[in-house]
Amino acid sequence: MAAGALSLKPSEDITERKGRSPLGDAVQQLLKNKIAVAGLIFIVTLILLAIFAELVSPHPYDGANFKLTDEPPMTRAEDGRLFLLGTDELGRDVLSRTIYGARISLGVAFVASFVSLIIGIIYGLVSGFGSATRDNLMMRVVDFLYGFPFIIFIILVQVVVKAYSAREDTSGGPWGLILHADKASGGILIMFVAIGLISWLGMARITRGQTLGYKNKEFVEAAHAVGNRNGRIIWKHILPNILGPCIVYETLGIPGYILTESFLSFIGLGVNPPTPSWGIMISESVGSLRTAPWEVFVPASALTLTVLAFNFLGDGLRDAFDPRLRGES
Amino acid sequence: MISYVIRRLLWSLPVLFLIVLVTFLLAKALPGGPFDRVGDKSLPESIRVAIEKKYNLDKPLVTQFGLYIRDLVINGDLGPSYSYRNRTVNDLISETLPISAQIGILSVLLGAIIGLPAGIFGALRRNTWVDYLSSFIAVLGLSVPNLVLAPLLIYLFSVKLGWFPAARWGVNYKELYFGFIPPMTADFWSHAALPVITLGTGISATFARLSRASLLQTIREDYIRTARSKGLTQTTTIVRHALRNSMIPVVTILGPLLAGILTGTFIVEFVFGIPGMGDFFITSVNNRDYPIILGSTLVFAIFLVLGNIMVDIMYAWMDPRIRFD
Repeated sequence: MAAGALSLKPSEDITERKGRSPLGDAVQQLLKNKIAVAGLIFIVTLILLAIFAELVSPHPYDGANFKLTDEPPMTRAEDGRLFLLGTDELGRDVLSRTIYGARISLGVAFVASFVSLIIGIIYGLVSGFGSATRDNLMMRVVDFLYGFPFIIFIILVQVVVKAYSAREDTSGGPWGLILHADKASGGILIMFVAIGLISWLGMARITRGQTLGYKNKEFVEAAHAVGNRNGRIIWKHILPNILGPCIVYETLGIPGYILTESFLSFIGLGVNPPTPSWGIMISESVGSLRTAPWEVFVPASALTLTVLAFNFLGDGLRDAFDPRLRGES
Repeated sequence: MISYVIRRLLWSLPVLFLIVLVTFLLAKALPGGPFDRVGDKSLPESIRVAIEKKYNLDKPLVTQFGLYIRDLVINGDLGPSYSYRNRTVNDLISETLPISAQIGILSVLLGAIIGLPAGIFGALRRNTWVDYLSSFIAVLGLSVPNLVLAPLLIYLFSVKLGWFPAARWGVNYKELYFGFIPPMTADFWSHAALPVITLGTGISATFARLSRASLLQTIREDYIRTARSKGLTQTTTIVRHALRNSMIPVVTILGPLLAGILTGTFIVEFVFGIPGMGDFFITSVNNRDYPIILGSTLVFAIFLVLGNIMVDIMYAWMDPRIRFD
């Protein structure tokens, strides 16, 4: 149907448009936005590259090769292997490390969004659907937390995590288990979840606002009247209506998550080497910018293009789903 | 106004207390004591006990926290630096903080000078090429991270063109007036140019997007229609009525922006090798120098909270309606 709708010309019969859902409308609006579509295509490609990194990347991301350090792009090794985008200071293939690095950036985009969505939506629903007193109290808590400098909090948590990881013996118990999982994942697990844990405040406010908007609508009243319980009304009637705007809002936050991850890895509190993250690749190579600029600019381009793609897609989604905001921020 | 300021400051006390408590507990949660080893050698048991006694580390946790709070509140004392001999965290911060502050303030100024006119012209010439161009550049500016822009500018303007130095800062902290204001020498500006442009780009993009959105909203207000209908010229309407009101919400972005500027100075100082607090912090992280990390983190956090309060107060001063909430 989407393909047919796309070819609609102004002269065509207007009754053709009847019966299209709001979702279909929004999708059509999004597909008209060329920049947003370009962003979407870039992101899908990147996701595929990240999933199939083992198959796609020409070389492993780790393992030093001291015969081939700081080689410029298009270098061919003696055994005929081609290093398309050069090698880094340890002789590792820059292209392969950049492809594997996409896993970290996309990983934080999805994990942090997921955590933030779940917490924010539950909090917002409970606050918005409840009594005015509870709503007031819960939103005061959100207001209070807004003043808390969370980036500092993440830095502190990561400092402690890294300090424990640096020790050989990881103790038992749940804390030891989490640390172990974090170490096994290359130092990303706690960071991903922590970024999500601090990002739900905005989502809670959006969800609450949306919930308040639907709470007194006729269909919710009707659902009450026929004897539905609150939980069922929230699940069946409120949630499906607010989920769309919430996901759109969440997309706008993704560039921030990616930048936070790259920042943490850049300052040495993110992924553990040799796990490749674009942030750590840049910080490791920035000293040799004069002699080996490709080591910085390949991951830097990947990072910039990814953030740009998510920004374009997020703006496009917001414009498509919320016509009131179109082109105003 | 004064009662608003007092109320606002009192509200921040629980936040500040929470930050100090979290920092303190995390410091205690770190594995091993600060004096377990010096360099690669373990200290003899008796010496370690003596040092820990000197720093009150042998007392119960609650007492330690009380002493820490007392020193912090009464003397503004952030405690000794365990790793730099004979220096306190205060010494280290008073040498590095002014440089970071210079970078931050200059970047915000640059961001305002470029971003506000771009956003305002975009809104006034809505849906023309001026608007599209400035909006597009703004998204671009928002999307190029500091840790990409900094090496890029160094490569272009230092390595290739040789216009600006690639590293260090133009003035020593001893040359600052009042320990804060730098002498405006050519050396200062040439060193400041690239770091400030790096940090200012994102800020001006934020300003441009926000001022455009805000002005577009203000133009639709009733009082603008009133101003027009009583025969004011377009210029008078925009400058006297629309602009003044639309700039009020723009001030509020300064609060959230502070955190971004802070993390930005970390990156900029590290890449350009500027001896500010951010560079110092990253060095401490890489050296696993935990007492310094926690001390400076506390300073960062207090700075962010107080910065937010100042922005709120500025906001209330600009828009009297806020004070009566």
